[in-house]
Amino acid sequence: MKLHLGKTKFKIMLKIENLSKYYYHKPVLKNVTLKIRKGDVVAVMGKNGAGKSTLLKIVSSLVIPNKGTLQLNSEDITPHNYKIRKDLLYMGHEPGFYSAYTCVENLLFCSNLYNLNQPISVINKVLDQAGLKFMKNKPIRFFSQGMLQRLKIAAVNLIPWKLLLFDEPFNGLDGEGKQIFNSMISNWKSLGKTMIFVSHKIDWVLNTCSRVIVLDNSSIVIDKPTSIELESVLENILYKMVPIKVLNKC
Amino acid sequence: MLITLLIHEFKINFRTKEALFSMLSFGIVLMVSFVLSFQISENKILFFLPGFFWITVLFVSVLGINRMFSHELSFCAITLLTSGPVNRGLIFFSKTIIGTVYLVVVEIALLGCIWFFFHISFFNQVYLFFGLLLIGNFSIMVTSVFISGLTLSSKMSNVLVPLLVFPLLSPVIISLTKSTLGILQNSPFSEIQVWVLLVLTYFVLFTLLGYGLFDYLTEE
Repeated sequence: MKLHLGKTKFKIMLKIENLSKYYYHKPVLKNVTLKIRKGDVVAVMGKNGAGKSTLLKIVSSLVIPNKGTLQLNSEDITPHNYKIRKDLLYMGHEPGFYSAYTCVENLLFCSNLYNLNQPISVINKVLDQAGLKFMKNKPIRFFSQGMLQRLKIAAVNLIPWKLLLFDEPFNGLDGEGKQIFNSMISNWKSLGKTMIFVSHKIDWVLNTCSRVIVLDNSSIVIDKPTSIELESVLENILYKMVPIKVLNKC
Repeated sequence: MLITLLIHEFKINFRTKEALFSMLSFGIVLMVSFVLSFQISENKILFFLPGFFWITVLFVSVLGINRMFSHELSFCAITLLTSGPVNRGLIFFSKTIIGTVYLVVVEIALLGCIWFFFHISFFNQVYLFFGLLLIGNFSIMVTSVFISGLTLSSKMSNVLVPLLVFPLLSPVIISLTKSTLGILQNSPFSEIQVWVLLVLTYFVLFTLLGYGLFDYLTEE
């Protein structure tokens, strides 16, 4: 599947068509249609409850949509099609690891789940890179939010994903952690990897991502390449809570 | 993948020792309480024992199943399993198998208690009895894991699991009690066949339901 824009050909990696999700008859996502190209670094933004996290959960098959279809590299994403999830890596709000396990054990289990069976040296290396060198043999139930976030970064570095879905990656991260993750993102960008982030940090999004999608009232209201002109629009929507209709009139 | 999941289940359960120890201690305490509370004459005890035994196993299984899913609920670790390239039916099987193994351990302790208090041995028809234990345990566990998966996203899952599992499993418990009594009385297999078939039907039905629907049960 190729999308022709002028002379350039872009391979569509993720295709979402007419996606709707309702919770107790209230729409969270309504007829969302979206195409993510290979190599896109997409930021999904929006107010609280706009449906950003639900969108990521639907793509990773954690939530089943009421309507619509999803395809990854032309293959349907459904809960039954578990093999397709080897190309996807989802990191949500929650820690998402076993509290009784240490960092090393959690990553070993992660690696086994993805059928990688990575040796302990590789696990130690990614933990060192994430700045968890001295905590790797401690059970993670004692970890702070920032340290759990670093463990997620280590897992992202360990699994060879094709599409990364990361919900608020900077939650609780300190300056060093942010720096580590930003340098990893730069590296993945140079390798042409596709990433979707949910974030509220406008300046980070404008500096790092190639495309911004804004969700409002269960629908996509903005889907544009990042540019400096977007800054004031995003500030108005996310911080000043200006309704999108008013912005359109302006 | 099933082996990976089973190793993980054994490892994490032995790490915390929550499920097995609570099941074992609860099972023994319950059996001793039954024995001490009911003053039953020796010639009648044979008719009560199978019921005591299977009711204890039922209570223990519900306690265990609540503890077994606690690892997935804490830190929301279930997302690691369900968002990974894992057939969710295998998650169902791994929970069922580990639960069954735990039930066998508890049952060995319970049989020891029964022998200690009443000098009654279940080994008259040893193959038949162990076959019955195995299908009984699997039937109880597939149903419990299925219901546990169904109530996983509910905040009241601790209350909902026993409320749903007890009535749903009552035909299995009745069948297991009748079959066990038959074995204790050295009855021929043809006399208990219908009860064994009922347990087998439950086992097949809930295994298929669990394997097929666990994808949807674990939805957030």
